[in-house]
Amino acid sequence: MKYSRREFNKLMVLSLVTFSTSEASEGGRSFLRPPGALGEERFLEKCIRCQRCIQVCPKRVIFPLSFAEGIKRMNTPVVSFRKSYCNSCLKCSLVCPTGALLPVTEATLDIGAAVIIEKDCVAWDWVGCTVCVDECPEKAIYLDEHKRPVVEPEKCNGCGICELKCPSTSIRKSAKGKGILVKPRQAGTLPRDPSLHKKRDTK
Amino acid sequence: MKLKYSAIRKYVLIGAAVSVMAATAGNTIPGTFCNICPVGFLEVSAASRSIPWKMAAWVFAGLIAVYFFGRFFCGWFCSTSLVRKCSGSRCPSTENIYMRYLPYLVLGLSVVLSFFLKFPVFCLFCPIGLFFGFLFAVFKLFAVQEAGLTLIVFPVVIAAEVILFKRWCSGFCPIGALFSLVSKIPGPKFRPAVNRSTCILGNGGTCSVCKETCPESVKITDGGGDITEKCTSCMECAEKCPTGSIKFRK
Ligand code: SF4
Ligand code: SF4
Ligand code: SF4
Ligand code: SF4
Ligand code: SF4
Repeated sequence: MKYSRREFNKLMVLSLVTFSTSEASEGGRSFLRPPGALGEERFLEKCIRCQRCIQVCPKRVIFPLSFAEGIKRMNTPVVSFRKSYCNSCLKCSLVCPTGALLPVTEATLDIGAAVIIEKDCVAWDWVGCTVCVDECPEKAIYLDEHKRPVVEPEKCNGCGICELKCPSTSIRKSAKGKGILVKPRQAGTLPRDPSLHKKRDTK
Repeated sequence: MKLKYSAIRKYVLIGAAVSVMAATAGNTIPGTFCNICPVGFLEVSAASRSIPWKMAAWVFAGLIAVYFFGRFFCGWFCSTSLVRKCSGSRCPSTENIYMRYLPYLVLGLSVVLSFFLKFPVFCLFCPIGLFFGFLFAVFKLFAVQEAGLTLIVFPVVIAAEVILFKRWCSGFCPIGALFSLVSKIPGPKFRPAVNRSTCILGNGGTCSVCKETCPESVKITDGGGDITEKCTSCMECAEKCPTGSIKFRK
């Protein structure tokens, strides 16, 4: 197939436009970004994928996103609590050179909010598991009258301890995953309230 | 035994990559080269319509060095130079006039596209970023036993960029182009130069060894602006010169 130069130019412009609009149209935040991250759109404008936040994290919870998640997000940092949790050291938010992550404090740190996955949480239909409630350093989870855990998002900082410690898969074969997962705050979820922060002396 | 420039350069290049990784393992501040990258700085400024002030001091310091020493980073610190050296890939000499201006075009496009697409575009393809991205992926493999596609994709992209497309450094890289622009600003310049009293050409003979070895197609014997603009101070020419007439000086 042969293109004239004008057709080729048109094709380039068109593909660029579709690329930018398809990327921009996605509202809300769908990836767990490191502490202090700007909103997803602003974040992508600023992050140069320098990996400093990834390098500096002593708990190793920040990873570069695979290119499978789209070329525009390739190598940008995301948080995963599969092997570890965030201890609020705040280093990541301080080292970012571009301002894609802005400095936060222990009280304003907000990675996301934990969400109970009802089908996988063993306490949902079997009284007895209180692991997340006991482990949460922010006391953001309470047990309701059926002894089921409930998260108060305004207290949760998204540290991931509950997700890391949740024993659902080892207690029950049918559980597909953890009974509690930290997710980006969706529209309608309360933001974290810094005044409810629980001071800790251990890290 | 006298150490050859190319051997020294290889050790310096390896040292640069190792210190970046050591800084990583030790969780110390420097981070990767991205932190001082002037192209990244321009891209972020364009994409976010604001200036990343935290980077500014580093970028400025880097550019001051470039003002005096030109593209020394390319020859002595860049991970891409390391990849080429280890893979034996060399920029073939070219007289092609378009190739000469392509890097400036790429630089311009990187900034303009970043502005319209609203993310730092060149960073996606940057072989320096990908190189360290790859090392981090290897690191991750050992740290959390998690293998990613990154382990395969990054080396493939780097290989495509610098081994197959041999002219990356002299004919494409926007970072090199920005360095060239800054080193063109008049002032004191430190680069290799030819001693005409010992050079074969200065004594009526014929020789083109330095011109042929130069990966940037600089005719160092002609003197002039080309050296300031393109020379990476790699000293390949000095090493090959049969009369040892090329020295690094002001
Ligand atoms: S604040 Fe949390 S995510 Fe950030 S570096 Fe510290 S432990 Fe890692
Ligand atoms: S430190 Fe900032 S710019 Fe670098 S990868 Fe992390 S978020 Fe992106
Ligand atoms: S993420 Fe952390 S703060 Fe939030 S509920 Fe889980 S343990 Fe508590
Ligand atoms: S031209 Fe670019 S890729 Fe090549 S050595 Fe210089 S900075 Fe590195
Ligand atoms: S003139 Fe010599 S030192 Fe400069 S880039 Fe060419 S070969 Fe390297």
